[in-house]
Amino acid sequence: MIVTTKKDFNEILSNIADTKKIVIIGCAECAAVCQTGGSQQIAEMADALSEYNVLATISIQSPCDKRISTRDMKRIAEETGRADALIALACGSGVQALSEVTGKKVIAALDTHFLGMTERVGRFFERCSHCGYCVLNDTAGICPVTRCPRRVKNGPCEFINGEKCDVYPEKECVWHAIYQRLKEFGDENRFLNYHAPTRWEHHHSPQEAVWQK
Amino acid sequence: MAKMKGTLAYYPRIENINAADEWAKERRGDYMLFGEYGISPLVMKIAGSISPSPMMEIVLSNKNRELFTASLRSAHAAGFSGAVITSGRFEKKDDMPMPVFDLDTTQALTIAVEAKKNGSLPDFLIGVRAASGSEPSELRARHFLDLGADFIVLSNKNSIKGLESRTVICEEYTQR
Repeated sequence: MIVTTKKDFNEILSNIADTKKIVIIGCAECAAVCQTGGSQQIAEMADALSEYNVLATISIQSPCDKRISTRDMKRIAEETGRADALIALACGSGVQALSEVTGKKVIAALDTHFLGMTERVGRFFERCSHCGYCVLNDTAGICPVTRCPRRVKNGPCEFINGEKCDVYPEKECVWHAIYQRLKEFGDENRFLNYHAPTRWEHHHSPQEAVWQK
Repeated sequence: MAKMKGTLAYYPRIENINAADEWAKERRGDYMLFGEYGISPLVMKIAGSISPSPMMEIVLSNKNRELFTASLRSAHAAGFSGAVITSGRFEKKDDMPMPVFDLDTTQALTIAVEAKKNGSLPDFLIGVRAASGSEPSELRARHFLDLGADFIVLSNKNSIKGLESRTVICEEYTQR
């Protein structure tokens, strides 16, 4: 899930200063779980912008999926056509998909942070950095690239303090955790398997996944 | 493999070249190590002022693999006797720059050992900072030596059983 937080409201206001007619679009997937783009946040945004002419509000299941946002935006095509700007309570992918689908000026109302694991509402944790070279099969299912602040792929580093991380002294060193877990599984022979530096030629932005026939 | 043990007098940060020069002349420890933070030890070495030949610390933080290789070759070309590879600090602070951790010590060591094998770093020692005190850290330290490190560096009063003859103990100099 993509973890988002609300932008400062004044930043949104400064981006719609010359605007009168607006449409507010929420995301019923990730941003709804983060309570940044669900139905309630759409209503709150409409209230906060009562001085503006809010032509329509809509919650889209996955605004980042252009197939879905194209289909759903047709329901408010007339209002969208008249709007000066659309305010998107969605991640950066959602904002840009809406811009590409509608051709309108889209204001991002959220900041986008990371791919998160949800423990429960309000407790989201980064577990995967989508680095493109998954080492989890050698690391007992614990990702060192994400959970070690230095992204050490062959650890632990020399700053390990007993079992703890030097950067986050309250946390166990992820390589200590990996070693203990490998031992539990009888897989400690994987501990020293070498992981080469990331090959960025396959990995730098903007990335695309386009299937070839 | 020659034994490498003893003490490593470590001067982590050169702020003043004359002060570092004075410190070097006193020559404490079996080996000397100058850190990269502050004025680059390359400046002093090129000026010919450090003698006998010390080692240069190569910090991996905020340095990608190309800059690491450049530091390694520069240290050799400037006449350092060797390099000690360390992960480097991770500093959380205001206005924090983007942290770069392109290589870990194992990956950097692999590059350095390969450079030695292909002849581009003749008579150059490679050490790696390691840690004692836990099973995984000691396994990793042993692995550094298996991969071709000449020695490991441990902080004061630490040791790893069986590796004593390949361990240099670092005694950090604190500037007053």
